Amino acid sequence: MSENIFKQRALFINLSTKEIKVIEVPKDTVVKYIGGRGVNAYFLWKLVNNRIHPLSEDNVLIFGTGPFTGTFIPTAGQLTVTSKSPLTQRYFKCNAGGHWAIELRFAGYEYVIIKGKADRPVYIYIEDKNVEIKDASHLWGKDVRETNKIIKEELGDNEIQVACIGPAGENIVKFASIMVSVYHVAARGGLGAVMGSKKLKAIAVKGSERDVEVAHPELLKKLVHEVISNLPNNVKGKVYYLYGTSGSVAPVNKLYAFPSYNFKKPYFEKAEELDGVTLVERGYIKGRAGCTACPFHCHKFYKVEKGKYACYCGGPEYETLGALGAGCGIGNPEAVLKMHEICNIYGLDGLSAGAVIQWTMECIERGVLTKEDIDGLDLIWGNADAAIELLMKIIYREGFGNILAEGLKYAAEKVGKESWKWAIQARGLEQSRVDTRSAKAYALAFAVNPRGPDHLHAQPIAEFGAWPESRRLIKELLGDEKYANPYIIDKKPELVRWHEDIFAVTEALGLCSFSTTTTYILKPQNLAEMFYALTNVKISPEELLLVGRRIVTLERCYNVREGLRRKDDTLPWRLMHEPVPEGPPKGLRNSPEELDKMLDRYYELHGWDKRTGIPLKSTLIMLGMSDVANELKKLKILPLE
Amino acid sequence: MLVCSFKHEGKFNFTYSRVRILSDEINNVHIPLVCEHCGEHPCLDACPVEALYLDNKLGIVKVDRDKCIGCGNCVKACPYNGIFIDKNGKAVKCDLCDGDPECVKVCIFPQAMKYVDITYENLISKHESMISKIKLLKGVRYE
Repeated sequence: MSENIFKQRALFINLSTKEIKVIEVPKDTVVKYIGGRGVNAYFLWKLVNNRIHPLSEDNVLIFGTGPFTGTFIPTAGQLTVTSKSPLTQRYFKCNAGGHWAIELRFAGYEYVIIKGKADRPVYIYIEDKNVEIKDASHLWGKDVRETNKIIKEELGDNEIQVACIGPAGENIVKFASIMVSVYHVAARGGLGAVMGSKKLKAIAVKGSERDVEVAHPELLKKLVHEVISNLPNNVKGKVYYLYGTSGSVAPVNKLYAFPSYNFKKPYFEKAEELDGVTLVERGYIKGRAGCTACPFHCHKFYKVEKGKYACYCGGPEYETLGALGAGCGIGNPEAVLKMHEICNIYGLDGLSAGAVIQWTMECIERGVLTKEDIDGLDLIWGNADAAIELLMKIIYREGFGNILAEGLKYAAEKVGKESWKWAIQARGLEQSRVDTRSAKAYALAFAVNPRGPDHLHAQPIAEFGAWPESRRLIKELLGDEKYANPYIIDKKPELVRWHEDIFAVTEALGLCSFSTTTTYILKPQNLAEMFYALTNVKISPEELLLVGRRIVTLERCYNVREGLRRKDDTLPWRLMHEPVPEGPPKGLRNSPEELDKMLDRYYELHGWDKRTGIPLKSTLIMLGMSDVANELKKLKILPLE
Repeated sequence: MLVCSFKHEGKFNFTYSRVRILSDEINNVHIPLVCEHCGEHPCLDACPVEALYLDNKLGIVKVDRDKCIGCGNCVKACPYNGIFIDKNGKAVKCDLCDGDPECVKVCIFPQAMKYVDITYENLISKHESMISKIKLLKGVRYE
């Protein structure tokens, strides 16, 4: 029973040649990047260079688990999906819950790498050593629920886990998602479109071959029990358990950080209607559809029993309620839940979908687009029925939906007339639902996020100081609780960098970011101890955070190779130039000067060149990434020191 | 499932678990399958080699894995789907962790499981939960 962490296996499948092989991941790669998001990123760095188009057969789609996957360490059920995004043309990782990752690990693999393009629709079935590429022509066009049902029926096993795309992915909608375990989702960046471009409908997996072994069972048991015995006292954890992320809607709205009407306002007058507490009280939330090994089960299951919005689905989440609801001015919870269901079962990222719809609404309001331009839809603020119709047009690329299906950046370029000013996107990705004008750590985190302006690279929620756990963290990290203030920029680069490091290593280990950030139940010390108990490999908390840093730096280098520079580390135009119009944060904005100040310090902390934003050679050497440095040097983009 | 496998085998694999979950993910129905420690114990009667025996300490049926031949008769006999064959071909079933069940300890927030004394009220509520489980099982099975 020894250092089994170093025996990681990747299943490599080329859909063009039908080649299937198993690759042992080199020990050196595991030492540096540990697993999950880290090793995924390294595979992408090696396999997909800057000349490869995201929708070409040379792009790869990587599904990765971590060394904690398969154990009962809280939240150890996460899957990281990595690819080059057709929406941003750059590095992209998505993290999804559910029960798929654990089955893959039990089947004997840490990773699945998909390359090539099938000539007709296929799905992959993995059952331990048996791996098959199967015909999926009968599944093409089917929604996510039907796909799951048919696959489980034809394989005759209810316990099979499925990751699949819906019609949106098949139609290469640039923000199509991959749906995991029916209602869990690797949502953003259009990784579903990558899967669709490969004509890959689904990957079904079931495993029992591999036992996940533990070096020091008694120690691991003790460590896990210590952590979970403290859970009932965790404020945010309890909110997740009771209401999920939708429990944040009303509180964030009270802070005037809940954008509505396409970020024109920081406050939504009907936010209470969409809040988790309301959804539970009115009986829409029927239960929980959580992930493997998670004590919180933040992902809910809802049902609207009757009426024209009758529906049922997993969720909803804060982000989708914000994007499909408040952002579009829709305050009827039943309508928003229906839109959320449509996004999920047709495999569409609800956040981006909401963003393009509300941008269209503002175009109509401003007269930049007319009713005729958008196929006669009466798309005024709050008209849910028109929004639902437009959603379907996006999924099937009909009429104006065909333009929106290319993403917000493209649509604004196409429509022109300064409509980019209210296109709330940066680097091609639609921003998630935080008004960064009144949350400065979020602003920095969004500006430097390799995906684009969203919350899943670093989640510096501690800056609000809303819970005892976050205030404690601020004091520990920054020396004083006074920095728990979202309106100030002092020490925010430090806060963001810490969150980046921990977020990256959390996802490399196979955990959910809600364990180490937001609830802050697992500290770097806990991770290091559990890592030792599991693998017999001693690692300090600082070294673990450094693994996170290495991953973040590699992701940066990937994007640098794609052409990203400091000038791209920005936020949507509206947030940088239009001040918050009302409420306590009135007058605040993410001015270029303010962002520059934070960026300077941030690059300094990272050891990146301040002028270009490119990691310095000395930094790469310090992190043990000389191979990456050599590649950048060869391409003549490494800055002089 | 995970802690059960870990407690009994010191490692993780669903097939070692003495509790399974039958799921209809689409409709979000999840049914725990575990030995109900019923009074009739048809599993014991079905065993051809006397690998199952009644343990007097807790009054429950246990498996003698040396004797078990993995025929699966007990699995077929159990109306609650509460006994399984693991990947080594031996029967596994809940032994209540000898009176200190690990699964109860990790069910922190929902506290869906409780380990309680035998009282009249507890027996009634257990009986009710067994009946509702049988109903649910009929709704979910793909067979």
